Amino acid sequence: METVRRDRHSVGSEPWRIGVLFSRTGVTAVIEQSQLQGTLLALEEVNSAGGINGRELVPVIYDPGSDPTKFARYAHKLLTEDRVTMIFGCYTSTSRKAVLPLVERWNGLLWYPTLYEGFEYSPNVIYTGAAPNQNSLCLAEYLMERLGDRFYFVGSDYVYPRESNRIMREFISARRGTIVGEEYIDLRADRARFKAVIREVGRAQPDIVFSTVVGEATAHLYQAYCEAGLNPATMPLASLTTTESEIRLMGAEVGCGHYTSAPYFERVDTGKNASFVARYKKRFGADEPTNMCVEAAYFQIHVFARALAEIDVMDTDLVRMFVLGSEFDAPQGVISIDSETNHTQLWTRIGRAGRDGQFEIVLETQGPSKPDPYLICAR
Amino acid sequence: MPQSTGAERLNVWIVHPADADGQVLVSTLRRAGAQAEYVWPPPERWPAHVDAAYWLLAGRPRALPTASEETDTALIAVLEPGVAELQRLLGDCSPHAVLSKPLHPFAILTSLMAARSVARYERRLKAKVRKLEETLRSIRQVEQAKVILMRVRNFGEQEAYEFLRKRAMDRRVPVGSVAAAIIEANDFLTS
Repeated sequence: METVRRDRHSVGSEPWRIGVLFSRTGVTAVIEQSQLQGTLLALEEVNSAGGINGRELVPVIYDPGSDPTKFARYAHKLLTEDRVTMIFGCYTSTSRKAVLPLVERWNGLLWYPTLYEGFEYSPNVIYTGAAPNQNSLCLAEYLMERLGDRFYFVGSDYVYPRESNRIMREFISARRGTIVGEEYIDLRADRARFKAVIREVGRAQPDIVFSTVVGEATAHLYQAYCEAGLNPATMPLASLTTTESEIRLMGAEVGCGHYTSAPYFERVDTGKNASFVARYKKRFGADEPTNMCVEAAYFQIHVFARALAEIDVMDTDLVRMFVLGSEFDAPQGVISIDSETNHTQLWTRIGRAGRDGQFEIVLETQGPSKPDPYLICAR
Repeated sequence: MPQSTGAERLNVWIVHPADADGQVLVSTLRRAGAQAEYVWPPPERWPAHVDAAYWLLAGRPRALPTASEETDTALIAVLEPGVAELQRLLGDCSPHAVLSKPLHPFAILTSLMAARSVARYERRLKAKVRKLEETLRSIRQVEQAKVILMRVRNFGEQEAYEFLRKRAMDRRVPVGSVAAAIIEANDFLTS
């Protein structure tokens, strides 16, 4: 039964409560921990500016330890015991799919700050990460123009890489490219497994290795590539998920020369980014990098906070109504929440990792592009 | 009632004669803060802008409410012992909750809470289905429009998509409606 919210309206200085679900432990903690930090930074900014209509915005935080069943269990707890309606969280598509039926049943709102494979819609999710038309398409075109048309796919073994590859395959074939190999690797696989995969890649001699490996395993893949002596200038790794955080884990010299497509990099030059990066490093440490997942986790809190300040009631339907169509000046540039799809108009950039562990931006759109999660208008 | 029921300010129809039982329904709901009014004999059409309706299911077919797609009224079927073909009646009207006589204020309010919860979930699911159906239609329309553009304007496939995306962005409309307009224009020009 849907829980009746009686404490929704402003009652003196009682805090507003929201749920936060990012892994601090487990295989995807390397990136989810950074999303938690982006969330906390935004919350601190909201609260030090006086909160929302004088009331503090307080997170109820659980660590699902990179385990999708724990994501479901904690989401259930947040919605039914902790009585929150807003959940900010999830990285892997498996975790999002575990939480989805719960927010739909209890009319919560999941704010999902991560790129994913598209082909999804829910009235109870706001998707603030890139859909495939906002990263994959651009990356495929860029690489094919410069390097060649033979691709090798290497990905972690779950829904996101498989679906993402299906879409990438379509884009590549539409441009007369070929896939010369495809390999899926367990999220918890060890270095030896990656050495074997890289040997195969070396034999197949593709022009580009498209990687959808996520989490800690990213470091294994890139390190195995490096040890095999392969050359990023002629056969680079290209990814939608390797960020400044994974580069730090693997070592800057290992990540150097490889490509990532993302709405945001730490080196992005916009009005808001410099101060955002400075505040983040001041709060979490000078060598903590920002990345696209941090940035989305950060701006989505601000988008929500602004909506809540206007309506002054924690009501999912009202929050949704106010949020859809709204614009925000995020570190990546101005973004807006698309009311047709519940996804976000985002910037598209391609970066090449340098010796310092930062990405040099080699391509950038003139403005944000509309999300097209069902690829209605893209091939 | 010390406990909150969510009945405050709700608009409720009592599709029930204004007899002793009807009085219990109306007074219980008004005490809980709802606006309750009699609607008897049963209306021809499904209510619009009504949050909930308690509907006495009698044996006669005319009295059967049938849920329509357009409204989100929570339906509570009120049942009397001795009604014929109860299973078929309930199956046909698919209420969100049932309330059996003799009536009790506690049961009147719990059935309201349950019915509203179920009705709201149903509404969200229907909205999601409608959105997905619209998406499927758009996919088909964009494919057709793309074929037309490639033929009539000599575009390549990518060019055609870019053309559609740009028009939609410039006019701030969904790409499906741009595609539908192109298909319609083409029908006029070629018929």
